[in-house]
Amino acid sequence: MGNITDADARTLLKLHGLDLPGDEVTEVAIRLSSLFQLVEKMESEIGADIDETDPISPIYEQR
Amino acid sequence: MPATTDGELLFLEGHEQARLIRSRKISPVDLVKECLSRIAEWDHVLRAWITVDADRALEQARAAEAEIMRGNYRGPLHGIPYGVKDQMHALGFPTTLGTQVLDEAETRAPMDAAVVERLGAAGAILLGKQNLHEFGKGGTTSFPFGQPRNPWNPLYSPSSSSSGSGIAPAAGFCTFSIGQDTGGSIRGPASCNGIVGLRPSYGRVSRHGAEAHSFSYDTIGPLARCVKDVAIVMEAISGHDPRDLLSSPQPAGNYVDTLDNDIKGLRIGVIKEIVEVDGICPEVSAAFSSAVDALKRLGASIHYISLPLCKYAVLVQLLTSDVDVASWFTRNHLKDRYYRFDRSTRVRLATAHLLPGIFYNRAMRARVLVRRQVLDAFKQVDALMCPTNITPPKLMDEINERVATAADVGPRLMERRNAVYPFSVANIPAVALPCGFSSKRLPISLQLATPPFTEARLLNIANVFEQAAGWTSFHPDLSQTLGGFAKGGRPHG
Repeated sequence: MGNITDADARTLLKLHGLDLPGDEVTEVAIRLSSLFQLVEKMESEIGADIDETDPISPIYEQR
Repeated sequence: MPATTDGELLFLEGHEQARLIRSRKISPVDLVKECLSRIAEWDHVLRAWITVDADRALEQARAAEAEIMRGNYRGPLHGIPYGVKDQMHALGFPTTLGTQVLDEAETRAPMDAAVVERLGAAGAILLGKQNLHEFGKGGTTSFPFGQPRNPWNPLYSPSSSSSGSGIAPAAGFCTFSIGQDTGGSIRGPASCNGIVGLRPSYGRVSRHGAEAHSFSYDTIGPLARCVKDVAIVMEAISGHDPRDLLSSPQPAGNYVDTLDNDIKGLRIGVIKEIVEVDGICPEVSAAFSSAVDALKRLGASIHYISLPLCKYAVLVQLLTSDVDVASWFTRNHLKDRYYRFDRSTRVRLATAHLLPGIFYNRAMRARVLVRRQVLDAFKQVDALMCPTNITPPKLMDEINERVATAADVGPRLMERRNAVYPFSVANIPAVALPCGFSSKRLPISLQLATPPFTEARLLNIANVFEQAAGWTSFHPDLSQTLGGFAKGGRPHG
């Protein structure tokens, strides 16, 4: 997971109506790949706890 | 050690300036004139300001003077000059957001932000709007309103994104600033400029009139040269505002009266994962250790605690906050004005467009876990403590966020956020304050955090430390720190 190529990134960006120059597509691909890999690492370490937790934003909790 | 400075009046703490104003030993006009003169002399180097309205400020200063002479003294902010990050609206000033993306007509302020209203009611005098990283995002490489620079050494970064709001009080351009902190955008500039900056509890200060789109992280707070001034400003700007739906109904506290409370017996938890991290600068470790010793001498007990989930804070926030912000820009400007954005901003927003919704959901769940661990720590300790940055301020080139390889991600995107994001993810109040200087005479800062809506306790601990340690009494002598640079030479770097 997480080996996003420039071609992958370009295709995905086009789906959002974004047409970036080559060097910026490359940077997006690198950033995205890194984030995917970091997510994978986090999930391997605390994924089970994440499953058990509701995604409640801490802006309503007043304590 | 860094030199003390010229401009005695300008570097008095705000409450001391207020005492002189109240007793009519100085006029607000005197103070504002000195600020404006200093800005005129040095801001062409530091670029703390985007818009300064000298005529308006002097008119307000004269009005304040007249009111005080009539016996109507509003309080410790009456006649005190300040600036606000150009992310909050103020009528009569453009709101540029530090960007070239907006057309001039789009920068017209439609209202006063709530903080500007409240500070106006308190009699404070708005000098102008302060420079920032584009849209408050951080990582800007090309500043349309000039490169903000560190007043201690202009080759070094003043941090982000409330850069000008950190520079201005440090340089004696104003008494305090109002900044905005999503991840660390008040605390970082406070740290790098050698002043005090507070990220309040989420919902403590109204976001009405601020252009900020990370709705579950954004806070607005003060930066000043001492803790007491931060407390005074907080008393003016805190409190429920029905125009901000997420504004807390909890009544605002009194933050000044308890500043000098004894901290004997308070338990302070030092976060091991931050102070023992690889890459922490030995000078930061040394300054931080000295601060810990100082707190012990003041009677606090120090406990080293482990918060292992803090290591996910940066990832969690990037996966959520960046998406929140990008979701606004997807319909506003990113597609049709892409090349008007700074490269760093547009690449970051484009990347956020591609993050799967699944990741957002998983990250919000993980956020609950991180927050829960942080809040549970307060069952053992009264406050948490760590350095604000694991390094002193860096050279400008070293802080750009351009990612050329995967190896850049950690040092360029994550390292400077590691110590501040745990508290923004947890949405608890956190204050940055000076605790020393590096061998290059650059400020080092420590960070304290307490449970939600306990700013009084937080500022108490910070104030007692500040009074004992004395680091906030140092200010940059701009004729020395900037003189060579201003004339085209290079300061010692």
